[in-house]
Amino acid sequence: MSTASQSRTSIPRLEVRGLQVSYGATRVVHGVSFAVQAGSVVGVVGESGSGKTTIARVIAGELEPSAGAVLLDGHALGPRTRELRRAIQVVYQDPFSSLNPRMTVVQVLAELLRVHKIVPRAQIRGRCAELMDLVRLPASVLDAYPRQLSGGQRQRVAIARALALGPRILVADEPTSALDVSVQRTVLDLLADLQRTLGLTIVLISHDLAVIHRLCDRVVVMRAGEIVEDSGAQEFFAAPRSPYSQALLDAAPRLAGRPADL
Amino acid sequence: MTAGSAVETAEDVTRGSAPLWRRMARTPAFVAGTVITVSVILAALLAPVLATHDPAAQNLLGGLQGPSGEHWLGTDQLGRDIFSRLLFAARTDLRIAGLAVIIPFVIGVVAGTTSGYFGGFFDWVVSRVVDTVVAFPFYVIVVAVVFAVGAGEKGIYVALALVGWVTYARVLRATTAVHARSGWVTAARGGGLSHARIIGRHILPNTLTQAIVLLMNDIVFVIVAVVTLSYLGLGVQPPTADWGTMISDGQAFVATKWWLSVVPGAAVVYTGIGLSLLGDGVADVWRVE
Repeated sequence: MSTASQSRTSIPRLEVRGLQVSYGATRVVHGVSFAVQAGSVVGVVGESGSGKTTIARVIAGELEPSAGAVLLDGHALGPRTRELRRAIQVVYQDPFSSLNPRMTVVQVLAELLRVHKIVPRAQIRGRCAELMDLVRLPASVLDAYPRQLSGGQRQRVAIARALALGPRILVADEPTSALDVSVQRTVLDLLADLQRTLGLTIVLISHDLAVIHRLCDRVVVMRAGEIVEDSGAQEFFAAPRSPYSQALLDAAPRLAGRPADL
Repeated sequence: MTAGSAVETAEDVTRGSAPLWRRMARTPAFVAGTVITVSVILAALLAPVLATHDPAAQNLLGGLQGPSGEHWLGTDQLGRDIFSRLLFAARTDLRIAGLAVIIPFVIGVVAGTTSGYFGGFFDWVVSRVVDTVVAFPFYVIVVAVVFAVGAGEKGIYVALALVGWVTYARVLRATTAVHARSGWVTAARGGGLSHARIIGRHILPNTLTQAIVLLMNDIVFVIVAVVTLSYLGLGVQPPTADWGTMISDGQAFVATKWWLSVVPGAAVVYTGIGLSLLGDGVADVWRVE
């Protein structure tokens, strides 16, 4: 790990320190540590069962680690208060199950704005429309139920829901892997644009190196619950340090004649 | 902004949501169930207006008459007008069934939802109690409770409240448990919403439809239970008119004056069919694809 480069920067927005997680007697994450600087995108890659989603769940507070800590702006996170939950938002893999089938988009967004008193009551509808604009959905979507929306539209709604709370960190757990290939690209473009314009800090969990390549500044490679590589995105794609990373890169499908574009 | 998103958002976002009344009108079971149920409720409400005689007025010299211009459905052994008693019996039975079904509904929904949502020890306790109650034959436990509490309306309410809630608790527990582990509940929790809000505003709207359909079907069951208890002499006490007592009173004369029992029996069947259809109709109308 490049401890030298980290000590030069300020306190990281998010830090995972010595994280161990067990499901029952089986330990699935064995002492994982990495840091995410404010305004950067860190990709966590690895095959199924490598523990990447487990780490996302611990960061989101859905799962208690058996050892180690998650630090937000230098403070170790204990029991999640409403404010802490608000600060760390998650976009889930499956947009078909992450939206309540009986609530319209505006109901979902307005409830969050109201409960957290983010904008005055009179401006709630306007703020919801702004959020739709932000994720490039027409305002007419506000009154739609999830079943009336396509997968890509739902995922945009899920992103809008996360952004409504003005999170300090956004955890995207395989945000495109449940979508059609043609739609994946547009959702990734959106995340990239949002990251740039809003200065979002994102932890992106993915098994898809093309997704990582598109978005990330830094890549953490996991295997069997341990980190095997943690390096800058350019270094990683140019010259991966671990043999496993090299194997991952070699396994990624490429189109003939476009070797540079993963 | 990008070409891809434009193609995607051009999709029709209003597809598949006909207004509620349209879906109601297009569901035959709902329409038929509503018509029948409303006709029974109207008969009950308008009983004082529609009745041709005082339902309790006896005329011992004019007992057991057949249908005539004076008594449309004849008279019973005490000379009381059967048509008038039939209407007033609808009042009694609908009122008792309505009240007797609400208490177990509320208890069952609360117990089932909380145990399904939180799980753990409370869930274990609720599930074991439900299993125990389910293990008893329904009428055995109801008759036993009515004996203990005393015959009459109060006994019916207590007995049905003690037994009836388990149906709702079981169904609500199962559906709530599924939703409580769903992505959208995790997301709502991650959005900083309280458990109370998630249960009330997110989960219940998804589970209550099923509970209400169950309630519709349960009313039928409760009406039959009330009629049965009254038939056994444990329910509605004379001289209050009720279908069960009327069937029971007519039983002695069933060989010669068959309509004495058949007419109130038909009223029970008619009401039952109406409520069953309405229950099915509500399920169809409110179903989320």
